[in-house]
Amino acid sequence: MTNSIYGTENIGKRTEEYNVVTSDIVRNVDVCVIGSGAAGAVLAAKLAKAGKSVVMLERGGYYDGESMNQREADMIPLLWKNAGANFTSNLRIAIAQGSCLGGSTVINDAVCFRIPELVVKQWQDLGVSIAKDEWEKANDEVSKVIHVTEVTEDELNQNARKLMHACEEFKLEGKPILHYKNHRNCGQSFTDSSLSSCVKCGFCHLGCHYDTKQSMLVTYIHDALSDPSLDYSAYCNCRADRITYENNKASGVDGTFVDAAGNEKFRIRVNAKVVIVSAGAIASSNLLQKSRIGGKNVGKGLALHPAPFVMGVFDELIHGNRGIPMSYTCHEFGVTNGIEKGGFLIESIFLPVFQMALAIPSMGIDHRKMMENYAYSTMAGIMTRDEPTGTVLMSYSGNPKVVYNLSPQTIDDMARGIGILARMWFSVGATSLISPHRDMPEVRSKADIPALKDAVRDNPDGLMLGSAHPQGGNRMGNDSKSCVVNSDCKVYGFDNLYVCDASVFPTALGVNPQLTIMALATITADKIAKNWNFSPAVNSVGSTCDISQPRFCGAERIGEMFAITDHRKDLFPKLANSTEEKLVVGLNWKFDPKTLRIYNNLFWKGFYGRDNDLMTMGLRYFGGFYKRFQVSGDSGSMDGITHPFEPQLVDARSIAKEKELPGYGTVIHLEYRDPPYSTAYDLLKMVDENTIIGKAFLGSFGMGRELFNFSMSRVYDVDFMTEQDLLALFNSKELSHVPTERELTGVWEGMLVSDSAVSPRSQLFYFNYEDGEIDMRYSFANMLHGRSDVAVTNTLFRLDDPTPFHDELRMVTPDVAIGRWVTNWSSEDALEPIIQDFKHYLPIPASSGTDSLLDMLSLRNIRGIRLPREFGVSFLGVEEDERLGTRVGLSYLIKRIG
Amino acid sequence: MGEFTVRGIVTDAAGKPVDNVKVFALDSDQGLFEDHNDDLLGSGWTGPDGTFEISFSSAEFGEGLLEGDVDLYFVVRNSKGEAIARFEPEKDFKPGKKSGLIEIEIGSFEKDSGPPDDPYLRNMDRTLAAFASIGDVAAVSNNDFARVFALLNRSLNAWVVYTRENSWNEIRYDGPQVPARPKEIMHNHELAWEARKK
Repeated sequence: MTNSIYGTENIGKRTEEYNVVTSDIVRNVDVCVIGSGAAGAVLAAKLAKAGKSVVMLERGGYYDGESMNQREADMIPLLWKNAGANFTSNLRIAIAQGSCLGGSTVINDAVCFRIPELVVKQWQDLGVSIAKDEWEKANDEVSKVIHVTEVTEDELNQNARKLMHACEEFKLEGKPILHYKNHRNCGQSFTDSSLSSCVKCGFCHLGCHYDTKQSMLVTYIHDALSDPSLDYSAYCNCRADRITYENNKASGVDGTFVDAAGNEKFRIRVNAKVVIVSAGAIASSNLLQKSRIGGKNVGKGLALHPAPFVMGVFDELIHGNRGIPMSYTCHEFGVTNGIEKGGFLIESIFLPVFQMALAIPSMGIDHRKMMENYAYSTMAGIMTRDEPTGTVLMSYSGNPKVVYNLSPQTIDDMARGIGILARMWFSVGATSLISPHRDMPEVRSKADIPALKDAVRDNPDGLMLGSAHPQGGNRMGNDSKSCVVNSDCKVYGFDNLYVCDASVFPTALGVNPQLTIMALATITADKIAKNWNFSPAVNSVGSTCDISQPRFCGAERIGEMFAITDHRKDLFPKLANSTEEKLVVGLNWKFDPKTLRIYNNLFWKGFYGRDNDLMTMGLRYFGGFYKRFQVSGDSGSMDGITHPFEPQLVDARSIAKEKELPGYGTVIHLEYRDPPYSTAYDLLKMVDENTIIGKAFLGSFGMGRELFNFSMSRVYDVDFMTEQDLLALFNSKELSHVPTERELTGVWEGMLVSDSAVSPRSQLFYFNYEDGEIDMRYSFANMLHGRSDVAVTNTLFRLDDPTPFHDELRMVTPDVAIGRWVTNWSSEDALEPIIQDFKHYLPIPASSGTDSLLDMLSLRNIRGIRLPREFGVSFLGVEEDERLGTRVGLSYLIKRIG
Repeated sequence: MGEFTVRGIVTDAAGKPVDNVKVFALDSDQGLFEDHNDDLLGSGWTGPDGTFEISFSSAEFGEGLLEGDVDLYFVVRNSKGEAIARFEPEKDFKPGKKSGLIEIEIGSFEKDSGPPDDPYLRNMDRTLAAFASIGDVAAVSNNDFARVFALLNRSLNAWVVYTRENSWNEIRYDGPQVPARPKEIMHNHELAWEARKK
């Protein structure tokens, strides 16, 4: 394994070694780092240098400097999270974060501030046991690696000089104010030796084409990749889906490689001794929530540094876009000047044209007129140190949802900051201002400034706000009841799981945070390396494609495995299924609540590829099948039968015999005996006692044309359960029980049980138990929402909704339950109207009173009503009971997610 | 042993023998009057020295009325089953009959990932996926129509007007300083306004 970057995009030669991912991946490593930004890149590189094997997972793609073409239309979708469309849930604040290898450090303005002493003290008072000298040492180390230097006088562009002059002019009660040049991380380009420092192009937000901005990509990541002695890999286009763990030990990460639209391409399973979450504020909280780690504290205490701006319009050309965008700051009103609560920095910044057009709060002709002043304008932002009042929740689809409202303190700070900056621009010759408030987008004189401040205070919703520094959500501190991680960034309740990024900040930092994040990562990495005492991870293949679990493989992969796998001749006798045709728990059917796997020897359950093309999906939902084998009189062969799960129209008898076939070796030839099936045949290979891979052919044996690949198994996860499996669990007193209200309290996600396929998530159940009463809300397909009445008896946990159907639930494990949404047991009269309703909606009609052969094959005469055994789409079913009658409905599986 | 035997060696791009890959011999039936269903003739694993041997009989390829001699090609698969190389021998190659043994060298081990994609090509997919996720997380009931409309209007206007180079001159925006396809077009790293100063 060479040090390399891996990803799903094939975009030609890049600066670093890059390989295209072409199949599922399983890695066993010491450390798995999720995220490659200011924290993740530092942690991964330092731990690799400490001799650990490291895998770094990154949601975004890898783009080298030469790919960065300085065009917003091209680069924002490539480098920015959510293609730049990243908002709070009320759409009031646009949040800029990077989503690419190197994270936000690739798209930031390279501003470096050390953590203010005041903040170190405040955090210590909040339970963060990191000493001032620890921060200093870490800052020194990082500053050396990423080449932090002060901006020089001649590097200030016109925009920054205007702010500098404005600060020099401004007096507060007669006294000068605090302001100075920024420090930045820019230095020698490693791809163009003629460039020893910032080129000053002004396109920091779109990635540095010249590799002079010392982002994680060109420092920590590049350094690690360049050292062949390290065991270090970065997997891009890789979404971390969940952290797996048992008791208090994390075992690894399941992830998915995605394409540009977010569709699954491949999967990855990383087994790791240590897992570190560094996905950034918001995403880190979201991952912990999806993994059910950290409890109610996760997502709380989010801060954003929300920032309005003010532009000054001048008679002279400014060309603010030329040069370093952020090089000068007024510190007078901020934490760097000892302001303990709230406060703000005024920072020079200038946006490229598309972002500027978004920021100006007007429309139509007014907007156009303001944009015509682009080259004559200055711009600065008021970066407020807000209170951590925001929350990260999880949406129906599992996306992070940021709920954030401005506090009165922050609104006041914004009003003051806008007022001060407005005065500053006028003081250095601005003829008018462009404000961030939609009620007053243009300000023509100093006399209007009070009205502008009033507008901000009276209607803060009218402000255009941006945030580039989300922080908090996984608070660090020494109180395990209110915090998510301790001062070592270790997650409470875990031995080997860490969160290390801006999400652990207990308060807003008050200054641009990248240096502090890198410093924290440095401190944490050193601690982890020094105290290394982690036991090996259990090797698991997760849900990746593997010969032991071909149900997780794509069709093509099954074919590839078939080509090179040898059939286990010794296992042929075990092809036979149970002679008992009825499901008998403990005999031919078992369930393991620990692994959530079903052993079913009634038949071999068939699986198609996991591909998401229309044909394979159609096969999965409507073409599900099973095969059953019995020893025949003729030793050396077996009688088989193939059935689909959906309409029982196919009953294909077969004979299974081992044969030699050139190119394939020994295979089981499944010869279909009766027309029309006799024009086809299958070749099977037994992989192990419970796993078969196969190919279906059309034509004569050995010369047929391949139709599709498939697999079969007698052991499968509960997600793949059939309705029969669910009923077995449902009706077994040993394997399931009626839950109490308390047991069900929480949030559950559900999927409909289909005999053929694993269906996607279709419902959410919310159970809230309070003061002796349970309240249940549901959301079905994110379209139907409502409440159900709950009734609990010794034998039944029942939910009644406004339809003729009701739910019956039984609990299997504390985190898994099964349910049926069914009509009441009923006679034909009561069912008839419901069946009539279904006829309107279902593609396969439920018929009555017909005598066609098709009907005779597919319908069952139940109390005078001829009903198909399965009708409609593949997860509707009919249940019958001699004593109770008939009912229709669907089955589902629910899993706790919160 | 069949009537025909093919022996060969699999090497990588550096000429080093490749162990533990499986070589499949196939007969191509893609000709005009053939059944377009290639015949799998046989397969064999390479050993530590990279060599393999595959035997097959004429019955494996001569089933069609119009099929004549074998039209041989090879596919090499790694231990995961992934096809990593395909080799077609010279047009005049014929496998030996009983005593005829031919050595075949299968060349490059490099898996073909296909032609490279344009990195910017799928940005519309990214943008649409992003907007879909906004729909998932936005609290629509919390938003007033005027704000949402203004945001959409401004976004659309900014995209349509200000991402186009012809609008930049009008507002005296310098624009990008490198080509749109920097990897394809030679360029220097000098800024236009710095160059003009000189």
